[in-house]
Amino acid sequence: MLMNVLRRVSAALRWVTGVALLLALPAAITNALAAERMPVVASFSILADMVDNVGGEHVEVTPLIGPDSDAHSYSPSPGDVRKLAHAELVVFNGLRFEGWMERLLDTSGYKGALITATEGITPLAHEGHEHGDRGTADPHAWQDMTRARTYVANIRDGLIAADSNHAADYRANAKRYLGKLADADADIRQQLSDVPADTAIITGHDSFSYFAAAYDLRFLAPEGLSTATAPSAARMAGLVDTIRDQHVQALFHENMTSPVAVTQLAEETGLPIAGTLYADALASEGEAASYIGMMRHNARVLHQALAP
Amino acid sequence: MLDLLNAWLIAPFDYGFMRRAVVGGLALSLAAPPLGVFLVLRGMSLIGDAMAHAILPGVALGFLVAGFSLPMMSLGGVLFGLAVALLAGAVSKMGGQREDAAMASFFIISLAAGVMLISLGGSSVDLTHVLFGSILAINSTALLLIAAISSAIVVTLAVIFRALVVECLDPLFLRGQSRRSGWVHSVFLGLLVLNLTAGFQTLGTLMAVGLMMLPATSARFWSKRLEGLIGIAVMLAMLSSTGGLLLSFHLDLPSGPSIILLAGAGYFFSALFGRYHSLAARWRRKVTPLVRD
Amino acid sequence: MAQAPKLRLHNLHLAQARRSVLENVSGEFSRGAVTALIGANGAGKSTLVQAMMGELRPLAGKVECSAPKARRAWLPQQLALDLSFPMSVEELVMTGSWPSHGALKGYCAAHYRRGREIMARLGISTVAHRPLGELSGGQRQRALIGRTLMQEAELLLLDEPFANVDSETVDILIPIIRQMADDGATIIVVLHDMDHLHRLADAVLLLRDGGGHWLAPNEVAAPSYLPTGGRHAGPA
Repeated sequence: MLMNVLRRVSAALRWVTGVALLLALPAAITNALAAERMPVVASFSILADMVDNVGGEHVEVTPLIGPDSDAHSYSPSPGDVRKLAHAELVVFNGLRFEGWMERLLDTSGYKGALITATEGITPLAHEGHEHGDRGTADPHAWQDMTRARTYVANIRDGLIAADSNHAADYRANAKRYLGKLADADADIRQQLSDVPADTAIITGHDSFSYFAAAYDLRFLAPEGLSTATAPSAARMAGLVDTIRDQHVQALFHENMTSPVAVTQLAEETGLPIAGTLYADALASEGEAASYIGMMRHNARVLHQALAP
Repeated sequence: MLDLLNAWLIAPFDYGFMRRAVVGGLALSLAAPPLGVFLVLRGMSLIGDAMAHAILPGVALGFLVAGFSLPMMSLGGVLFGLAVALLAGAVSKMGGQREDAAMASFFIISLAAGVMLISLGGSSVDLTHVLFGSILAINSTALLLIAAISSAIVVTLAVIFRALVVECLDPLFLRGQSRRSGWVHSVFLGLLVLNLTAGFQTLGTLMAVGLMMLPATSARFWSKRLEGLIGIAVMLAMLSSTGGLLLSFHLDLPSGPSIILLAGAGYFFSALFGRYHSLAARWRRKVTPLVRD
Repeated sequence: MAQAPKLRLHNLHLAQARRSVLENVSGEFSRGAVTALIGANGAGKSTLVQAMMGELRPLAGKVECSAPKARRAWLPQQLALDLSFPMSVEELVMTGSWPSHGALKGYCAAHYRRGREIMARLGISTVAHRPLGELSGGQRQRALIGRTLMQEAELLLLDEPFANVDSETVDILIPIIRQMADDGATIIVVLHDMDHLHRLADAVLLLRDGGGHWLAPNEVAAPSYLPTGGRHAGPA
């Protein structure tokens, strides 16, 4: 009688163990695979995309400032601190783009490797009114695809230093990506050569200096379009005057600024709103969801609006 | 001399956005002050402020659903504001709480809910636009909406004027005269919500009530009659909205606060030099000798 | 020519805050009669007035009133009047034209004339344009009576109208109230002063011990409310 019960109990136990193991196996496999990917944190979406292209399947990249988000109004959340704590590699832009980075690194206690993407780049002097005083360097170097090559090189070298096992893959990925960059650069150059050199383009952020220098365009970032609060009447009038004086032909939304000011300017000046430009952040989906896609998109929109 | 006047007063309105802003401001200055006068007379001055915060979640919901679409945000604001007004009224009728306590509770909850909603769905830029308004961003659609709402308010006020006056003066008498006298209070609250919804686009939900209350409180220093109070309040509001815009233009100041602070300056001036109850009036009285007749 | 009474009470049982105040009160208030409602403090006068105006639901019994609602006027002891409201005496009197004008119709010249006549009768023409807050108690009371005149009130309920009022006002108002009664109104006045009662009242309803006792005016003597021979229930 007792033996029967014991036998049945042991059979049940064996059955349960078997099922459990069966269920655990896929989990264990994916866990094992996931453990292969190195967790990397990039400061914003554009960098994250680059790291993703160079690191490939060996890295798991998360941006702190995601797509369609404004780096200027970013303030770190507890979730970001956690991300940093678990990271093995951190990539940031440098040139004082991320004023909050030091404090964040301190808080999270991150002691691992850091890649400064702009290391070795000759920056342009800062002309605009954000990110610090005049005379300091303009951090938006990624807007020039030639300088972007240095970004990629720095990322590749940093990845190799952190994870030498996959050095060969990183080199191959980087080489391929640099090739794509070169292609895109050539295409953009050709497209934008159609736009007359003295065409003025108005944007809210002064993020396009490098783009302007690289592709021979004129970007204006007058005071008033990017302020967090609504511009005063004086600023609005100033914007309208600038648009008229500089013979601006089209206005553009930006993926990070409020559309209110641009819409009002469009109504005032009768200019069309020719599309959306991406300055400091990728789009969450669509053409501009990757760095190369973003550059191509910006070029296409500008070309459509401004080429005669 | 004429050149100076022209440069100061006329030239700014060459810009379309200034013209639209001033028309919007004038429309609001017609509709808001009469409501403010009644609020002051009924001792409901703070209720106006509470209602302004109450519409914020509705505006936020409209914003989440349709972005910066003024019709949607206004619709959300109106519906939510009316709901809060009804709820507060119901809670106070249940006994145990007066209307002002119920209102205070609701408006704090509404304000926090609104800020939360906007922060979830938009950026800090959007939040500041809703809280502080952007009178300079009035496009033609917005202007039409503001003008339409203001007209509706003025017309409705004219129609219910006597009922409103009697309801303020002697509610018992009104109850005796009209079976459904409760509707007057409800319509008044409805007009309030409507006016604040029209105002939030220009001055933001935080300050939309300013153009309603400040001219009304200032007017008490200048007139003792109801028609006088309303007339003076409207005039003060018009001066404030136009003057504030001009200040914003010439001195590079944010437009919303300029308008409200100018109205505030009007209040201080009235309290000091007004015809009745002001500091100057008191001083005048002391000096007049006793006359025996 | 006897016309049906404007106000009838049938076995009213009234309570305030769950405490019984009055039981089995009945009576008829005839047209053209001024009835004085008297009783000690707490006897239930204000309660009965509230019930008669439809503000208080009786626990039992019925109040039957044939006057149109707009032509009933009630001046309670504590006025619901907002004295700080910027309204002049003339405007207050003019609001009495609500029954004929409603909320929307404008006032015509004839009505303004009537208003001025009424104010002249009441002796308040000199303060016609002063705001309510600046009036004395007596002037205010006269203005309110003026409103009821404007209303062409058929049923008038005055709760202690002569409290805090100067004797000149009393001397002006008493004949006017009498005149209103003679013109066909049904008037009920809550009184404490026996002199006023004897000048004004045609009938007396005394509230005592939770019940109502109908009396003739000459049966009431000051100072206590002990009538000299009374009858219970039923009109005279």
